[in-house]
Amino acid sequence: MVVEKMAFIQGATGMSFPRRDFLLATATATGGAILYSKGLAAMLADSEHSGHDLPMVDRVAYIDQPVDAFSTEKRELVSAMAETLLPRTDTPGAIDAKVPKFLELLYDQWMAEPEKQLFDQGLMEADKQAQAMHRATYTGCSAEDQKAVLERMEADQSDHAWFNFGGTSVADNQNDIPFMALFKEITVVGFFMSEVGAQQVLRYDMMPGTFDGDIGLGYDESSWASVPFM
Amino acid sequence: MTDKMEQAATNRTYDAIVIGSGMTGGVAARELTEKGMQVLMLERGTALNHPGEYVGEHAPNWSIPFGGLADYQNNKNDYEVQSKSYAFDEATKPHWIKDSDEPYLQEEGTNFEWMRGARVGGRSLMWGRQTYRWGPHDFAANAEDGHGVDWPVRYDDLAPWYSHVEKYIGVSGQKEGLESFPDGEFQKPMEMYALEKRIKRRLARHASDITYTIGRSAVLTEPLEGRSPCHYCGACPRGCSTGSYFSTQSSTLPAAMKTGNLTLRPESAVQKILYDSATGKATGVQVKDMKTGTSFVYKARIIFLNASTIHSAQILLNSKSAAFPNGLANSSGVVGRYLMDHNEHSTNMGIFFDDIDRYFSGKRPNGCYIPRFRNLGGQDEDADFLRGYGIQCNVVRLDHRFTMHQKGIGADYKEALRKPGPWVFAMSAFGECLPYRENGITLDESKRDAFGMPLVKVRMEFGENEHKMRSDVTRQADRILKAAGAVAIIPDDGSEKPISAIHEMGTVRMGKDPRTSALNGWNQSHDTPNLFVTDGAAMTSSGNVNPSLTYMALTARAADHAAKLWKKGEL
Repeated sequence: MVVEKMAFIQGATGMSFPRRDFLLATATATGGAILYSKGLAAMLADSEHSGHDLPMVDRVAYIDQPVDAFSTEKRELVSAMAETLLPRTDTPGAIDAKVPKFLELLYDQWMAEPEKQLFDQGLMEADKQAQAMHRATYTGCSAEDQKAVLERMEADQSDHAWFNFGGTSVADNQNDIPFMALFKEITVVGFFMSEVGAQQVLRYDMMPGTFDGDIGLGYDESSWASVPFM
Repeated sequence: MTDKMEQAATNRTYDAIVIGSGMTGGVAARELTEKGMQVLMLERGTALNHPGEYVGEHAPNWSIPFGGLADYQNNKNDYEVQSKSYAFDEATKPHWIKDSDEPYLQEEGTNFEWMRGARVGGRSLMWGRQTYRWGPHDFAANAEDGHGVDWPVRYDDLAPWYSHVEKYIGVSGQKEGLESFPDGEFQKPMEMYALEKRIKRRLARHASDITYTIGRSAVLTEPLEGRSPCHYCGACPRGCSTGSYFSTQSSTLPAAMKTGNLTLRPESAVQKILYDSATGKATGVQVKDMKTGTSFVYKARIIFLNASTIHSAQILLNSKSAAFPNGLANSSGVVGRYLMDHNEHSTNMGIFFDDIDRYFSGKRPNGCYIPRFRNLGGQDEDADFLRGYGIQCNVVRLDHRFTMHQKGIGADYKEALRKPGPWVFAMSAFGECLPYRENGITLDESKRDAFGMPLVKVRMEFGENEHKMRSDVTRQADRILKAAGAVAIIPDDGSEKPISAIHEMGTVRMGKDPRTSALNGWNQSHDTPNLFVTDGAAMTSSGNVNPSLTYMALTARAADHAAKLWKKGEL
């Protein structure tokens, strides 16, 4: 049933999907858990008259928008670094999840000037370290050597509260963050919040229908994709 | 609804005007219209129609701008205070006011975070949904220890109104049979996590003075009035098209609309309540239309002021006349004073190695609760503070949001982030705050907000009692966490934090004596009998449980009283 639901959600995302069909599909996917509700029936009736689509269903993925903030070389370097941090294993990696484009969008839309500078300096530093350690540009290094570069950079920068247990967010801490904190946080967020990361690396269930606080967790099972604590 | 909005008329006299459409404005509108009164509800925020307009509801994670990272540049410019709320994100943003439009001032050295709603429904859209009755001791506290004036009501006066409101807002919870923590009209309780059940068993053995119960929450577990039980999607403040949590939109507004007696006018900022010294009554309100900027007057026989604690005081202080040079209903001089907020500084956490193989499905929008256990039935011998606190408890299975801070690059790091981390048990105490005369608001006439109102200046600080209470919370939390089996304890760090429980109350307090209070036991102005203030502003003391239910019960009771007087032609 979980697989069925995920397929449905993928199908529904990024295209206009009539509200009524969405609700029926959801009710089916949740095993009818909310089918009996009068509220749902009222919504279905209402939706036929109002012509409103469910807003979420019309939403496109954040990364499905054009951006042109990086040069080709910069794009390659950012892609390589993101993939070093979160490589493809038996599950998809950063490039599979289009994290490089997420980072380019953040650079374009989200970062203030000081964070942009920090980001750019970090990229230069990666190339410099690659030259010093391996006599090659970062993108010219082997995957193993690239990992060594980022490990060196992290070792140099990790004497900062971001690296404490639980940490704080870079968004609360601008002006006082090392590059590796910025890079790790935005790469991790972009990865696990992505369609691929949420569904193929983590587990994603938009409409659980019920709560069960005592189910088994196998050794190799992933977390749920996150929802903010509200 | 649109037709009704067009009909809002300046040339007629409504039976009642309700100022504000939040938690209590909705209850007032429902109660008054169901009693046959023609009601005009004015809301300065924009319309938000249920169920189709919750733009963030069920938004897939990958559709949230910036992956949900705080938009710090824009937030700093437009949402500097609002963005600090736990319930603020890109998907709930339209529900909050822009601080840049409506700034407020603070007395130097004080730090109070004022959270405000920007839509019809007010903060009932984003509230935390925890729903508790006060106990009998709460209404007696002022009389017993002499801080603040005595409440003009007691628990027994309010008990039937708690029941009345609980039945239609819908509250899920577990009865515990405690006199100090009264049970209500509950739908079936939500389930506990395996770890919560384990903690409950351990506390029963090792800290038997502690009651540990599932949160009492205005989130449905059974159908109610066409609303559906919770489907556990987890981010309530984004809005709920199935009406599973209580909001004005899901409950009180449709009920009031159904009577045919309600006219709702959004984007209508009330600036003044008008007063006629010949009759000694309020006659109506002066409103600014936020779309056109024009001002006009609506008339009514009865006014219910439900603009939220600070805005209600602001409107009264701005309603000056020859008869009330210090603001309407303020012959006592207490309007704007005795502001309170809960003492919520302290979070104590424990890490657990239990139930590492137990997990969950569904995002339960509710925690557990430890009701007040200090200073009940007299002062505890080892307590150096007055009154008490309750503790909201949440178990959280750590995920990549927490574990990403570890060192590491590559496959092992990714693998560590993919899987759940340990369980954490977080305890957040909400303590009673004594009513202090110096805490409150004043108006700065020289500065105006986008609504044309003089800016509010807030002075809110905790005193010695609150600080001592906070230390006690940390000591008790340590005891409770050890009894519960935590393997590591992360205590409250004691650092100064803003006052931000979003439970601000007081400023137009109830009392028996017109010289020291603004409202009588029916939330009715001592000075102006057809004016009722029934939001948090009316509170005489703060108790320690989440306050919304008490505001709603007071509102329903006051509306019943007002309607009776109206029927007799006395108002």
